[in-house]
Amino acid sequence: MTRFILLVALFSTSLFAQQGIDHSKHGMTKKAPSSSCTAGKMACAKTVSSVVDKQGRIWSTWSSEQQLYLNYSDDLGRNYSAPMLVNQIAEGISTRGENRPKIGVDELGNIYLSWVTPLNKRFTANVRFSYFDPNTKQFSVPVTVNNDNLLTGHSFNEMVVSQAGDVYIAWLDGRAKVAAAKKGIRLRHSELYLAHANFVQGKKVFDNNYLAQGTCVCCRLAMDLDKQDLPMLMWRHIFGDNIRDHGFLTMRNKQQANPMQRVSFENWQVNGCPHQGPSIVGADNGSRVHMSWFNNATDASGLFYAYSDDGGSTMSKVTNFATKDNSPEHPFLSLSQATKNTKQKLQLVWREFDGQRFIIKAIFSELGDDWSEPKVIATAKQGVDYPYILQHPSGSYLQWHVSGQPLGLIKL
Amino acid sequence: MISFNNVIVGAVISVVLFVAMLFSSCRAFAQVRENSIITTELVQHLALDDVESIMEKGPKLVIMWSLDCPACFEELETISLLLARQPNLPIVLISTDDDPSRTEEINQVYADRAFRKLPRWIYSPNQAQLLRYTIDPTWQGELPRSYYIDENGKRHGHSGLLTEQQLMTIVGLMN
Repeated sequence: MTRFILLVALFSTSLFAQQGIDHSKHGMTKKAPSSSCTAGKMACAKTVSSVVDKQGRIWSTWSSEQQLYLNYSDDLGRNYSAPMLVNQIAEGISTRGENRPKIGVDELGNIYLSWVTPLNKRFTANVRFSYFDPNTKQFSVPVTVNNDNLLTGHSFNEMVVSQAGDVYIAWLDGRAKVAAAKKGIRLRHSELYLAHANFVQGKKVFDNNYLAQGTCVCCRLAMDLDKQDLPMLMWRHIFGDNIRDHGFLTMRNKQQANPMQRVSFENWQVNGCPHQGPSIVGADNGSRVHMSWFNNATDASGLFYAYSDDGGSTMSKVTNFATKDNSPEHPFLSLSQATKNTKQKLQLVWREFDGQRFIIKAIFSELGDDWSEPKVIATAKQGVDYPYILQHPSGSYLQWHVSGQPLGLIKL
Repeated sequence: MISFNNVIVGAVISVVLFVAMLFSSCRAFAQVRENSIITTELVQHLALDDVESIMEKGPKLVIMWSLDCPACFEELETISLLLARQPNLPIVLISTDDDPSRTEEINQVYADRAFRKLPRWIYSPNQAQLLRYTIDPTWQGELPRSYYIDENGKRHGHSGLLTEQQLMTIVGLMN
C-alpha cells in the first residue's frame, strides 16, 4: 500500500494498456536516406519556410549543410528558380521542429531572412540576419542580431516585416542567465527580446529591447503586426510553480512593450519542455487577435483557440478543437484575403499522428465564434513537416513539406 | 605439438573474432569514434521492436531525454550523481533525438562514466513520432518523460524533471 501511495504521489497516472499494439502496421522498415539528396536540395531539407510577395511570387528558404538557400516559384510550386546561397561562409543553422529559419517580405519585394546559429557550448546560439535586394540580386553580409556579445542562449527567433520595411525579430534571450550565474543563481527561464531595423529607411543596425522575463525556454514564439504595424507577441510563459500557460503583449511603440497579459488558463504544470509554442494572427480590421495553442493539463489537453478584442485583457470563450487522442500539435492560424465575392476567412491548420500516419487537418471560421468541422487536407506515413498556410493572390495554400519530396502547395 | 606461440596467436585471434562478433551482433553504432568505443558499447538505435522489451516488467526506471531539453540535462546530472553511489541501478536512458546528424553529440552525453553500465538508446532516424506513439500514445512528447515500471510490468508515467528527492524514492522502490 505504501508503494502505491508513493507511486501515485510521484507519477501522473497516465497509465495505459499497451498490450496488443501491432507493430507491423507501423511500416517498420527504416527509410534509407535518398541518394538523390545532394547538398542544397530543397526537397531534402528538414524544414522549409516560405512567404508570398505582392506579385504572387513564392519565396522559400531552407538549410543544407551549414548553408542557407533561397529560391522562388512563379507558378505555385510547379517550377522553382535555381537556389541562391545566402551565407558565403558556412555556419551552423538550427532547422528542427519549431526552431527554423524565418522569411519575410516588404512591399518593395526585399526578402528578409533570419536564422539561429548554434555555438560551441550547449544551449548557446546567436540570432542571425541577412536580406536580399531584388534589384541588385545581392544578399547583405549576415549579421548577428543580438547585441550582447555573450556566449548564451538566443534562440527560437520569430520575424515579421511590415510593408514599409520595418523588420522585427523576437527571440528567447539568455543574457540574464549569465548575470545570474555570476551570482551563483541558476535561472530556468529565458527573457523575451525584440530587435528592430528598417533597411529601406536607413536604420541598418538592429536595436535590442527587453520585453518580458519568465518565458519557457524551448517553445516557438508567435508574432504578428497590429493595425499600427507594431508587433504583437504570444509565447509559452512560466507562471508560479511551473505552470506553463501563455503570455501575450502588444507594443506601445517600436521599442517599448505594454504589460504582459496571461491569455491561457489550462494550468499545465510541468517542469520540463513542452516543445510546443502558440500561433497568432491579427485581424486586418479592428483589434481582434486570434490565438491558438497546445496544452496538456490533466483536465484540459490538446489544441485550443480563443480571441481577444482588447490586447489580451479579456479572452473569448476557449474552444478545445482537437483533443489529445491523436497527438495534435503545431496549430497555425492565418487569415485569407478578401475578394469581391468572398469574405475574409479565418483558417487554422495543425498536424496529428494516429499511430500509422501524419494527418494535416484544417478548420475554418468567419470571426472565430463558430468553426467548421475538421477537414483532412493531407496525409503521409513519414517525414511530414509542420503545416503552414501561404496567402497567395489566387487563394490560400497549405505548405506541404514531406522530407525527400518536392515542396507541395495544396489549395485549402 | 602445439607451441606456446601458437596458443598466444590462437587466443588473440579468438579474442578478436569474439569482439568482432560482439560488435556486429549488438547493433552498436556504425559511426562510433574509435576513442569512444568503450563508453558507447551499450548505445543502440531504438527500433519499434525494441520498445516492448524495454518497457516490460521492472522494477526499472526508463528516462526519455533530448539534446534540446535543458531540464533533461538537469535530470541527467542528478542521475549521474545517483549512479556514482549506486552503479547498478536499473535505469534505461533513451534519447528522443531522431536526427542522425546528432549522434556524435548524444554519444558525448552518453560517454559520462556513470552511464557506462546503463542501456542507452537513441531513437532510430526519422522515427520520433512512431516511437513516441509506440512507447505511450497518451504521451504528447514533453520532456523529460519518465516511466517507473514495477515488478508486475505496470508503468507509471511522469512528465517533467524528477527531483533528487523523487528519484531517491524511486530508488527505494527499485532496491
